[in-house]
Amino acid sequence: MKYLYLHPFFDERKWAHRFSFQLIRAFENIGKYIERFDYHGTGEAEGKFEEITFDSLHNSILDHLNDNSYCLIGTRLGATIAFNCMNLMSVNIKKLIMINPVIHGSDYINYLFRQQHIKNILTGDSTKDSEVEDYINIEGFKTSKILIEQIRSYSLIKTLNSKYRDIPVHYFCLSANGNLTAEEKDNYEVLKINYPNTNIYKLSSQLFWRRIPSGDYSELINKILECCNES
Amino acid sequence: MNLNSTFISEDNLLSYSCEMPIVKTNKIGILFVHAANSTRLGPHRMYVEMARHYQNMSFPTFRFDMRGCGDSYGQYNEYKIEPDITDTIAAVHKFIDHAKLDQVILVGISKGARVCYTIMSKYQIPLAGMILLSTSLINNKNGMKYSFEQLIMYKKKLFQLSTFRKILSGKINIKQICKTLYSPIFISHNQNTKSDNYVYSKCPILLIYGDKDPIFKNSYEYYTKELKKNDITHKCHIIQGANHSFYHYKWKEEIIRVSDEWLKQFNEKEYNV
Repeated sequence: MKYLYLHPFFDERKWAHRFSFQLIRAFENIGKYIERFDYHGTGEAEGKFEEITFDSLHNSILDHLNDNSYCLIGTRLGATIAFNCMNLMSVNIKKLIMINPVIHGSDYINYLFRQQHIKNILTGDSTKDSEVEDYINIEGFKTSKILIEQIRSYSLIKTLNSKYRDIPVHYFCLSANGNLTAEEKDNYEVLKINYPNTNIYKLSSQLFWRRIPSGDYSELINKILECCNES
Repeated sequence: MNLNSTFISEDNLLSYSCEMPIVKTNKIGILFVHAANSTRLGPHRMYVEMARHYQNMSFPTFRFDMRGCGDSYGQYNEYKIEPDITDTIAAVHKFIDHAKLDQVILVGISKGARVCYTIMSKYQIPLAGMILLSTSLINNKNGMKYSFEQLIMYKKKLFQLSTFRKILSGKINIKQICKTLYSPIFISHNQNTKSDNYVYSKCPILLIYGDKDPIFKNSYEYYTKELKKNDITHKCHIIQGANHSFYHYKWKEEIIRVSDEWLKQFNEKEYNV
């Protein structure tokens, strides 16, 4: 089985980078290889960020997959995209590991706008996005309004597909206190009904995609390795 | 031709990306030095976009991760600048050797810009030029001032309802607050900017600041004075409304535009776009 890691987006990608580095090293230590995937227009990949749409993200991955079996591991929006790929398009995805996936796109967009708003306040909000332009500034990224609207209207719960109900789904919920929120419990229940092989893991951990430059993520990584080793 | 590989700096294996122009190759390459706790992608992928643009101007480019950052091994020390300088000098040698260059242009932002400036001042390196973004003046006075400003900010937040809720639910990150308060003092103590009477590797410099960056005024005054004192050719560009990390794509585009114009002096012939 091949392992593919899907990064989160915007500033979360930067802060989560060190986690992905530790994940690769941990896989290497047990003789496994995990590939980190840069979608078109992100990371080291060719293309411009402004060209990204929700469809292009999925197509980037599907163009990349070959006839092998895959385990997709994703963080935040990367986890959501992995989930969509499993549900909508590919029969080659045999296992899914999601770390705090974006469940409701509107919540995520509101969060991004709040983050941007704080930055605007700090600079006196001098550069506003024009209504007539096709792009919005999100944390320095030229982001198409199409992508924003596609994410905003997205709900993971609405994309469930019983065709792939046998695929094991490992759902990691990280939080400062290690407790599940009511929403996370609800999400788990819905996932469990549609995908009986769903497992949930609650961990007390720093949210490494939020301004945490580096830390020790061995507990999370060891759990992920356990999930990967399960047949 | 693009290459992702590693090189050694002291005992650490550092990761890099080197991109060579397809058609014509300049003998001057451009090396990017990232900020504290960042990666070779730069803030909001700015370094990747700049590198691809400069590559089209015929410049080979080199981006690397400092020890303990991105994909590099080792431990990052945000309070010290010396390890970053060591890593950058090792990167310069690797780049020159790999791309068969005569000289390099350094591009740095924030702490990365201070690393570049210190290298120019204290080391003999074949530098053709430098593009320095948000280069800060670090001294004890500024460190104390910044810590005090943070303290005032926390005091204001203390009386907000949301803060009160966070305190009750135990979501206040005391460790992070303490770090925010003492970091500027620690950094100013360890990385104090010192005036130079002799500069080892003089080269033309393009300084870029955002006028809404809290460090702008003091830093701009200090560095322009220093450059004049040492008779170093320099140009300064101020981006209206921009902050320290240039968190708007329009500011990023302005940086690329301005640097593109400045870099033409290093390209004798028309470049291929």
